[in-house]
Formats: sequence, C-alpha cells, structure tokens
Amino acid sequence: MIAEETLVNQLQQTETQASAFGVLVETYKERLYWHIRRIVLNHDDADDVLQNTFIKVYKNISNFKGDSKLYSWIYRIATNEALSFLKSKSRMMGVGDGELQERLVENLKADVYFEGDEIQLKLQQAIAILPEKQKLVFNMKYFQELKYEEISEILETSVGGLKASYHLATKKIEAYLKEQKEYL
Amino acid sequence: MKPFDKKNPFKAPEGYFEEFDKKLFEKLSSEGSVIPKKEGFKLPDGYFDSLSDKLQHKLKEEQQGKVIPLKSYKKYYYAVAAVAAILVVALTLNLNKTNEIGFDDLAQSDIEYYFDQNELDLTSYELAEVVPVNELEITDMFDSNFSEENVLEYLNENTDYFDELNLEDNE
Repeated sequence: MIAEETLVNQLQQTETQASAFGVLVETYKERLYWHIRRIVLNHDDADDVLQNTFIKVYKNISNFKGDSKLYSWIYRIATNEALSFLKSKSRMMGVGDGELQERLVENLKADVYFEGDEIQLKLQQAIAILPEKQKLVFNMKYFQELKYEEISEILETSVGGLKASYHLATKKIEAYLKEQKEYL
Repeated sequence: MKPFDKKNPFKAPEGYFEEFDKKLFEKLSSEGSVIPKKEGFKLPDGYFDSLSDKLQHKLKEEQQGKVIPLKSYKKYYYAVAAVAAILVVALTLNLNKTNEIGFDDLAQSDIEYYFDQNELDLTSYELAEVVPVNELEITDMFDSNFSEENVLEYLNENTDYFDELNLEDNE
C-alpha cells in the first residue's frame, strides 16, 4: 500500500493528481461507503454522499496541510457531508431530525438493499434514537472497529469523551433491544 | 418380512454442513451481547467496481460546469429581461387600447343582447330624453316605406283613442 505522505504529494501535483486520485478512491471507497451508509441508511443517498465526498477531497486536496492524517481528514469530510445531507433532507421534508430518523428506519422495511431481520431492524431503531455524537461513535467503534485514537482524530473529541459516549450508546441500545425482545 | 429400508429419507439443505461451522462461530462470537454484529445492509452488485468511472464522469462534469453555469445564468438573465420588456410593452399597448374603446366598438348584436337580457326601468319620458325622437325617420325602424295615407288609415282602424296620440303637437 502506498504511503500516505507520498499519496498526498502526488495528489497535490497536477501531473500525478489523476492517477493518485484513482488510488485514493480504491483505498477508501469501501470504508467510506459503509461509514456514510450507516449515517444515511439508504444506498442511493450513500452513493450520492460518497461521490460528493470524493469530489470535495479532490477539489480541496491543495488545502490539506497534513496537520492530521489523510484518512481522518477524508473521514471528517464524509461525516460532515452525510450529516449536512440529512439536515437538508429534513428541511426539504419539513420535519425535525428525530422524525427524519424514524422515517429513514421505517423506509428500510421496503428497501431492496436491506435484508435485515426483525432484530436488525430493531437495532437500527435503537441507533436512530441516539444523540448524533453517540450514534457516530457507536457505528465507528462497534461496526467499523476503529480505534478510539482514530475516532478522536476524525471527530476532534477527546478519547475520554468518546469512551463515555460509546459506553452510554451501548447501554442504551442493549436496553432497547432487551425491552423489544420481550415483545417479539 | 420386508427388509428394513436403510436409505435415509431425510434431506439437509444444500451446503448446510459447509456453512455450519461459520454459522456456529458467528453465534458464539455474538454470545454475551444482545447487539447483533450484522446490520442487514446490502448494495447493488458490482457497485464498487463502477464507482471510479462514475466519479471520473462526475469530476469532468464539475470541471466543465465551472464555466457553463455562469454563461447559462447570463443567458437566463437576458431571457428574463427580454420577456419582462416584452410584457411591459404589451401591457402598455393593451392598456392604451382599452382606453380607446368606445360605444362604436360594441357590436350591434351585443347591444341587442344587453337590452334583451336586462330589464330597463325607463319611462317613456326618460327614453324620449335620450333617444332623438325629432330626428327619427320612420325608415330608421322599418325597412319598408309606408305611405302616410296607409299609416293614418292603420291608426284610424286600430287605435281606440286616436286623440291621445297627440299627433298635432308633434307636427
């Protein structure tokens, strides 16, 4: 795998930019896709946001100063893109964030790209009602298995704060699922 | 006695034993937490393979789009300005036209229709004030020419109170 520093250099040079961008897309497309998909839930929306993320990266790579790692910079762009996508979606639909989350989960039932069973649907319901930060941390830790240090760099939050958020999120989800299991 | 059939009548789904280990270990690893590790999300076949091409295409569009939108916006503004100018001129002309419309522009049929449909509460005196009776000729109302002799004869035979016609006053 190409070293991050070399990739950044190539991305910032006009003559190597196109090929380096191809490498960047190949390296990050899957990880970023799943990161975005867990936020927006729907495949088509995830596809739109992922493409916008890469285009933003391409356009702004000259502004990347190397203060953070490239992957955390890209992840940050992806996170912001996904969150602002949801904000504009809720504005367009004229609903609040909470109601939008509810509708997104509800839409999964008829989504051809969701084949989860009842418990997996309940899991999405449980995640949907979490506060934004806890939701992000839970997805990044539990499903993407990122290290706290990596999440800390992406979300620009202290590791201690992240651990607390993750602990709280896990407890809430477990409690929700246990409660739902009794009714299943 | 018929020998016991040793053939197993039961069947297992295809690939069941190959998948069994995998399923067992998955179940073991998720033991202890009620939170499932799998989410149930799927994506279209070959999605990641086609992503690079889609991105290249979008990037090209974006780069070309840097110039095009400005031009098209300009065109749009010109078009809007032109339409607005035409509207103003057309409206002005129309307004002027409206002011010029007079009694002469009314079709005779419209006037007749109006009198047919609306009950005019006018006395014969009021009508006489408006209608220039003195200037009227018998031919204004009838196409055929009547001789005075015939008219007088008709009135004589059909009018009960000939004197009330005040023919002499109007002479």
